[in-house]
Formats: sequence, C-alpha cells, structure tokens
Amino acid sequence: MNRMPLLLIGIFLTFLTSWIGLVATPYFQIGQYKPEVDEITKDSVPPPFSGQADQGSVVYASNGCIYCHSQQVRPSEAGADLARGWGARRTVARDYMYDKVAYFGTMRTGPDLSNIGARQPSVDWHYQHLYQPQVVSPGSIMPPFRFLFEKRRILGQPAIDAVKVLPPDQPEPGYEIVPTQDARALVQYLISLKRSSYPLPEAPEETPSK
Amino acid sequence: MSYTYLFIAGAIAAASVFAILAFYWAAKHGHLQNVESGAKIIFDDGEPIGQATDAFPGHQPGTLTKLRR
Amino acid sequence: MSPAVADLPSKPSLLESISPTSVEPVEDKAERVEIDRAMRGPVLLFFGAAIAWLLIGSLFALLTSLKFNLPDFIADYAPMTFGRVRPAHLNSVIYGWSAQAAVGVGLWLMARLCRVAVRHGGILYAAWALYNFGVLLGVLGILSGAGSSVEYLEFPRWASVVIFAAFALIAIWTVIMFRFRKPGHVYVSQWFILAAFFWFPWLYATANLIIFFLPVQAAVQGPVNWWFGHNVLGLFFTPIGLAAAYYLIPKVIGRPVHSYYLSILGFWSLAFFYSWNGMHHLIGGPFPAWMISASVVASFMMVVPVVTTGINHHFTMKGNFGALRWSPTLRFTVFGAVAYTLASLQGSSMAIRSWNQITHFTHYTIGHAHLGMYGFFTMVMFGSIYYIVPRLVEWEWPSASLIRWHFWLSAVGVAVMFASLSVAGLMQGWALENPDIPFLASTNFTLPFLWMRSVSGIMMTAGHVAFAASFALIMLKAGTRHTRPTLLANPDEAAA
Ligand code: HEC
Repeated sequence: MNRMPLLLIGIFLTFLTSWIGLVATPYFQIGQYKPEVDEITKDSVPPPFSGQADQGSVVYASNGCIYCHSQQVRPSEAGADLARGWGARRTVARDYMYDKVAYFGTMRTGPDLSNIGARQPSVDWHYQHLYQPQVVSPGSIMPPFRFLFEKRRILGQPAIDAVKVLPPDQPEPGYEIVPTQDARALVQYLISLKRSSYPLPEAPEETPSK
Repeated sequence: MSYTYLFIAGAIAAASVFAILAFYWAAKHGHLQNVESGAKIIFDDGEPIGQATDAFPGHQPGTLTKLRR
Repeated sequence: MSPAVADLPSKPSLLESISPTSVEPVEDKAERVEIDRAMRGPVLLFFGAAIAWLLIGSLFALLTSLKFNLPDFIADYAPMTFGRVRPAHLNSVIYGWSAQAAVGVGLWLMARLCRVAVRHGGILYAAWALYNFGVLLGVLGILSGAGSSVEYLEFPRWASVVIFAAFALIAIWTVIMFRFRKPGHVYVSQWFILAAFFWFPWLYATANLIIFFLPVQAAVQGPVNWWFGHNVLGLFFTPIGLAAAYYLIPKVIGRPVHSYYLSILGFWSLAFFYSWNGMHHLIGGPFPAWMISASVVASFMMVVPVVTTGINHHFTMKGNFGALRWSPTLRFTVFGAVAYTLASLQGSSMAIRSWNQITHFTHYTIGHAHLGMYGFFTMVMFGSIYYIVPRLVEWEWPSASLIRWHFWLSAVGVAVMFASLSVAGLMQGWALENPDIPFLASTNFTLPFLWMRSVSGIMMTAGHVAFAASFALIMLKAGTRHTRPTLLANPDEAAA
C-alpha cells in the first residue's frame, strides 16, 4: 500500500525529462545566437530591426495576423515553401534572434510572411492591401483592417503617406485616408521581414525542387 | 553543440537507470502483485458490482437490471 | 501508508445527514452523501462558470467561423476583428470552459475516491473567484488588443499571473485532500488527477516565465510554446478526461474495469511519451533536428497508451453496450472514449513527416484539435456533469429530452465539423504543396467546407444551450423529483 512515493516521483520525473529536453536545452542551445558580421563591409546578418518594426510586431500580435500567416520556411524536402517563392532558403533559429516574440504560426490561410519585406517592399502597397484586401487581391478572404486607418479632412496639401484607395472604398472628395501610428509601425515590421533572403553559414541558399 | 548531445545521452541513460531501479524496487516490495484488485475499490456495499448508477430521468428501473457482470 | 494519515481521527459518518428515504447499507451511502454535500458549493460554482464560458466561447467560435466566409462581417470594429475573436474563442473554451469543468470533475472525483469531505472549502471559493476574474481579464485583454498571439498563451501576462495563483490554490488544496485520504488503495483515476493538477501549474509557469517574463532569443519560444500547447492537452485535459472515464464507465454499468493492469500501463506510458510530443507541431521549422525527431518518435509511441486504453474501455463495455440507451452519462462518456482513441491515433499519424507535410498549416489540424478537445474531452465532461450534478443538488435532471437533444446536437455537430475541416484541410494542403496552383485557390477550395463547419458550429451551440437550460433547471429544482434513475434515494429498490 505504499505506492505513493513511487507514484509521486514518477509523476515528477517523467515530466522532468521533457522539461529538460524541450525547455531547458533549447534555452541554452538556441537562445544565445550572435549575428554574422562581414569582416570587410561590417554588415551583419540577420539585419537588425528598427524600433518602429519592434512596435509593429506588437500590432501584428494584437490583431492576430498569426492565425492566418506563418513565419517559417520549410526546407525543400519538407514542403513546397521554397517552390512558392516564400524564401531563398529554409529559416533557421538564428533568423529570429532580434524578435521579441516570434510568430512561427501553425496556419496558412494566407501566404507565409517570413520574407514579405523582400517580396513586397512597397509601403504604399501594404497600406492599400490592409485597407482593402479584396480589392487589391481579388478573391482574398483576408479581413480588412480599416480600423488601423483614419479618415481626415484634407487641409492644404494631402498627406504624403495617404493611402491610395481604389474604388469602391474611396472617401468623399476633400477627405483622405491616412494610416494611424499602429498601421505605420505594422508596415515597417512587414517590410523588415527578410528572414531567409540572404545566406547564413548554417543555411546556404537552396534551389527549390519541384 | 556536441555538449548538448552528450548531455542528452547522459540524461537518457540516467533516466533509464532510474526507471529500472524504481521498477525493481516496486517489484521487490510486492507492488506488482494483486494489481487487479485495485479495480474493485470504487464499489462498495452501497453501490455494489452489478448495480447500475445512472439513467435518463424518469427511466423505468426494469432495464437497469439487465446488466452483464 | 504514511503515519500522518493513520493518525487522523476518522470522520464520524454523519448518520443524521442521510436523506430520510435512504436504506441500508447505511455506512457507505452516508459517507458518499456527506462528501457530496461538502463538495456541493465549490463544484457547482466551477460547473456553472464553466457552462457560462462555454456559451460565450461558442459565440466567439461562430463569429470566427463566419468571418472566414464573410471577411467584411463586423470588420471595422477592432475588438471583433478575426485575429481577436479567434483567440477569444480558444481561450474562453480552454481556460473558461474546459479547465473549469476539469477542476470541478477532478475535485469531485478526488473527494469521492479519497473518501474525505472537503476541508478548508474557503480556499476553493477564493480560487474560483480569482480564476474567473483572471479568465475575464484575459479575454477582455485579448479583445482590447493586449493579446500575445502566442498560441494557447494569448492572455496578457497580468491575467496569466492571476490564473496561475488561482490554479496553484486549487492544486495545493487537492494535495491536502489527497494527504488526508482514508486508507485504502489509490485508484488509477486519482493518479491521473494528482498528476494533472501537478503538471498544469508547472507547465503554465514555465511557459509564461520563459516566453514573457525572462525571455531569451525568440527561437526558444517555438519549442516552449508547443511543449506547453501540446502538454496542456495531453497532460492536463487528457488525464482528467481519462480519470473520469475510468471511474464513470465501470461505475455506471456496475462492472470493474476490464484490466486494471492495462490502465496503469496506460498511465505511465502516457506520462512518459506525451510530454515529449510537442515539437511535432514544428516539423520543418527552424529548430534543431534532434528535437523534432524526438517528438516524432514520442508521437508514434503514443500508440501504446492509446491502444491499451481503447482496448480496456472496449472490454469493460463489452456486452453492455445496450446501456448506452438508458444512461446519459454513459452515452457521452463512451462517445468521448471512442473519440479519444480516434483522435490520438490520428495525432500519431500526423507526425509522419510525409503526411505532416500536407496537413501542417491547414484546417486538418483544426479538425484534429476539435476531435480531441470536443469529441473526447468535452463530451466526457458533459457525461461527468450529468452524473455529478444530481448527486450534489439531490435532484433529478428535469428533462430527458433536453439531454437527448444535447447529445445528438453535440455528437452530430462535432462529427460534421471534423469531417468538413478534414476535407477542407486535405484539399488546402494538397493545393499548397503544388506550386503550380495559385495560392488563393488553396483558400477558395476550403470555403464551401467552412460554411459546413459554421453549420455544425450552430448545431453544437444549440446543444450547449440545451445543456445550459438543463443545468439552470436542475439548479432551480424544477420538475418533479424522481427517485429512481440516479438512485439518489433508493439504490436497493432499483437494483431489485
Ligand atoms: C482570415 C485570415 C487572415 C488574417 C487574419 C490576416 N490575413 Fe493577410 N492574407 C490572408 C490571405 C487569404 C492572403 C492572400 C490574399 C491577399 O493577398 O489578400 C493574405 C495576404 C497577406 C499579405 C500579402 C502576402 C503576399 O505574399 O502577397 C500580407 C502582407 C498580409 N496578408 C498581411 C497581414 C497582416 C499584417 C495581418 C494582420 C494585421 C493579416 N495579414 C491578417 C489572410 C489573412
């Protein structure tokens, strides 16, 4: 009748093994990368994020882009990600060293965004797309994020970053649609996403196999 | 990197040794005997084996007795 | 037996508290009634709040589902954007409904099997209030834009702290109850509950600390996130569901579990293999290969506990399947046990790399999650609540047809949901894997099936409304009191 110590020790130990394996080990193995610095040009990869981009990643989190977009590129033997042009190589742990939170994602209702900054560097396009995805990308089921923008009366010159809204959502004459600070930061984040657009020693560029 | 692998191998070995010891200890102290009797612990004189303890409200009790033990 | 337990004064069997209609043998019955009375407050509170969250979570679910087909639907109000209502759904059904149902069922089973009446019940009331405050804070936080987008851990960190504190109280209290148990064998359900209540706070604390409070570089968040996400299902909800099944199935049909040995084997293999499973959510991801391989192997090994459990339940039931007709508890619980076997075997298959390549990142995974969390866990919790509540309020469920409606709506609903999401996911995955097919075709293929999913969601929600109505009516002691079916008053007569 004295099985209790065995039971309790067992409950503790079985769990401890996975805690060591899947929590403690990665903490040391993949938690302390340094960037790769080019001796001559002093450029470093991965490229660091700007402050705005960090802020933008918070906007990305609070609006749940992760539930439709992943940010990880599988190697060509594990999926068609490269063949779809979602990166020049697979992503590796070091590609995420500057993120506060990494949004690897588990769902691809929309395309992978690991390298969206390389694929779609235009800030204007992103504003337009966030404002009216169905118009920019016919057939898209991405929800519009109009609440990240403001309608303003044009006073004097139109704002430089006013959204080039396409029909049928255009504001009435004399008004313009401008991004809020959140939208600006979000788009800065998006265009800074170039996770696997350059080679790393541990991850050379790959040619996709079809 | 190679330390990680060493560490993992060591951890697996340690866990296996411990598991074998624990198993041996349990066997020696008779914990593996009479295991099946534990299944009966949830029955007692008030709710003995062979007696159903649930039915739809208003259900006739007659069917409750047609249980196989 | 530790000396502390032996020294304990044995509880007087409060004969005066037996219901007047009860008959001999009086001792066991008196003890059960006394324990049930002591558990009444806390357990009913947990159930009540759980059901409220279930309804709220179902509404968020419907909204989420519709937004796939109607992206413009309530799109301009930030708190109702897709990316917020989806985590609001997940967290209200996981932390609001599932975890609270698990706590209620776990506490009741533990008290029954330890054969002690609740001590220090005040702790549980405090934990209940704190816990619900935490979940409410968390869900409002997500809606207001403070969500973290770390799956299964979306609650803002201030809410996580509250939830952790509340759960720690519950866990400590359970350990205390366990320590003061009556001498005798410790049933396998108690093992599961004890383990689950120990593992959850550890999981929750570790994941929150490493991801939010003491962050290192973000790559670590992948393994930790899925170590948590998978284990909260496998090492918290699954053990509670199995504990309930291992108690209720034998108890309802009055026959001990087929092989106790297998149930113990199931316990240890679950504990060992499940905890390593998480990384199969990240196959092909930017992580060291050995971690993913270890999880793939552990996922295959999950066949051991699952098959042993499946065989065990099947042979326990064998010959008594007719009982499904007359016992609501059994219907829900056996449905859940079957779904457990299916969901787990499916889960193992999804760790096969070539299959994962197609199903990863698609609705197929969502279908799998619903088979597990709803088909298995939630259905077992429904069954348990149908068993427990009449014993706590000493009143019969007022309407058999409400229960039948609930069962069929939920059962058919989850089956349709699983089927439509699986087909949608396979088509989506197949299209994604063929780079000649334009991306948007992969989403378009899913749309008709997502409509079907919304319809199944409406059915399940209707089932939940029937369930909530039953619960409200029994709490109000509506209807006439039947004495027989749950055998509250007169066990001998029913058995005669
Ligand atoms: C309901 C799912 C859903 C959500 C939520 C969602 N998206 Fe999308 N997204 C899509 C789909 C589908 C596409 C592909 C069609 C298109 O371009 O609109 C897409 C495309 C994109 C693209 C263009 C990708 C490319 O390769 O051209 C970007 C950039 C993008 N989304 C950013 C975001 C951001 C930022 C958020 C969060 C604020 C977000 N999405 C939320 C579904 C979603």
